[in-house]
This record gives sequence, structure tokens and C-alpha cells, in this order.
Amino acid sequence: MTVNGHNEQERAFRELVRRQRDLIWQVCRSYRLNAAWEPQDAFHEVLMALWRDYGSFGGRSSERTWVYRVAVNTMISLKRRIGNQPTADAPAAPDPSTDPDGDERRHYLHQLIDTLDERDHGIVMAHLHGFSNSEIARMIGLTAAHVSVLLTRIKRKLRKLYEDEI
Amino acid sequence: MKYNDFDQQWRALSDDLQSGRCPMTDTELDREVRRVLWNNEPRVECKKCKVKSRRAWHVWIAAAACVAAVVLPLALRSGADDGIRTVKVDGEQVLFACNTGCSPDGTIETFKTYLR
Repeated sequence: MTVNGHNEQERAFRELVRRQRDLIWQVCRSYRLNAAWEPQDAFHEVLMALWRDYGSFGGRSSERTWVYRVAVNTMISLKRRIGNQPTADAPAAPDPSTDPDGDERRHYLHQLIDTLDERDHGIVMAHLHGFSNSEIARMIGLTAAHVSVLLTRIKRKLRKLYEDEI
Repeated sequence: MKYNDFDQQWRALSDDLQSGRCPMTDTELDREVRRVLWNNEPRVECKKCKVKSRRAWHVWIAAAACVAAVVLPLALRSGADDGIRTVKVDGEQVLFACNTGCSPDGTIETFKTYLR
């Protein structure tokens, strides 16, 4: 690659990061790592992974979907590498009477989601991050109909766990 | 009393996850991207000492290191320190380590760069 071509690629990458910074941040924040890892550290790891894969991003998926997929894969790799200490314990249900705003219940729900296996967790998180069933299906190589069925099933399971305790 | 607010918390969690804003300023973000580009860029080779470095301007640093090594071979090879030199690039504090130092003919056997 020529110097100009390389500079052009760098410039395009910078712009992509600027456009998708919030999404990257949201993924880093939502895939909670152990206390030694700040979201900023994870953010840097995701940028490294994005730049490594940037040459192979051929526009086959949307930019947002591609960034999300790389970010999630990076976070999963990090979790495997460094462990998942804060969410490994069984979550404790909050007392609703002392949680008028629902913050603790929301946190509890997030903890329940973190107990799901990797595939189910990935489907739920992508859904909660606003991706459609078709987009999720393309990310994980299933049909949209299959994702819809899985999502319904996972949500039913989570609802039961949640409502049994709260 | 049961709180059957699963759907409400589900929506609230979704809103929460999607509402996060990257706290970095444009300058901080650019610096972060620069670190990434600098660390990952395909290596280029110094025409003089054949050191593989990350960027064209780092080749110049490598070349400068060669010259310094010729001028100060003892300092680099004595083992008095770990061979790490500190320079500034683009206002960033950059550590580069010449672990084995340059031999008198200016060949660096190992050259590593680190951004702090």
C-alpha cells in the first residue's frame, strides 16, 4: 500500500471511530469485566481489534453492525482471558421497597442476563442495544425467525427468574 | 407485594445501555486512535539499519538511535541501564528500547517501541 493510501485508510478509520465512539463505549460498559479493568482499557482493546480487522471490512454488513460485532467479540475474548469476577456470583435480588426508582432491579436484571450462556447472552445484549432480529441473525449466522424464537424463549426464562425473586 | 415490572425494567435497561456516551473529548479520542494506529501499523524497514519500525517517522527515530549508538556505543552496550531511551513524538512521551543496543556498525538487532 502506498503512503497516501495508508494515510487515507488511517483517516477513514479515525472518522469511523468518531462516528461509532458511543456504540463502542456502550459495549465496553455493558460487558462488565473485573474491577481491575476500566471501560477505557476495554475501549482501547476494541480499537486495536477494529484496526486489525479494518482491512477486511468490505461493507458486507453495515458499519454499525460490524463495529458492534468486533467490539462484542473483543469483550468476550477479554472476559475469557481475565475472568468475569464481578458477575460470576449468583446475583442477589434487591428489596423493591427500598428501590423506588428501580435502579437496583435494573441492575439485578442485568446480572441475570450475565448468567446466560454466551450465545443467549449475545442475542439478548444485541437486542437490548437496539439491533433488529435480522441484524442479530446476520451477526451470528442464524435466520431472523430463529433469533425471534430464541429471544422469546430467553426472555421468558429471564422473566421467570426475575419474577420469582422480586 | 410482587413487583411485576419486568417489561418496564427490560425497556429501562435497553435505554440505559443505548444512552451511554463516550466520555472522551475529540482530542483524547484522537490520541487513543493514534496510539492504536502506531501500535498496529504494518511495519516498515529502516533503509539504513534494516530495523523494522512502525511508521516512517519512527524509522527516523531508529536511524537516530543508530547514530546515537555509534556515538555512544558504551552507553548503549554497557548494561548500565536497560537500554531504554525516552523521546517525545507528537508531544507524546514515547519509550523506545534498544534491548541489545547497536553494534558499532550501526546494526540494531532488536528494536522495540512502546507508547506509555
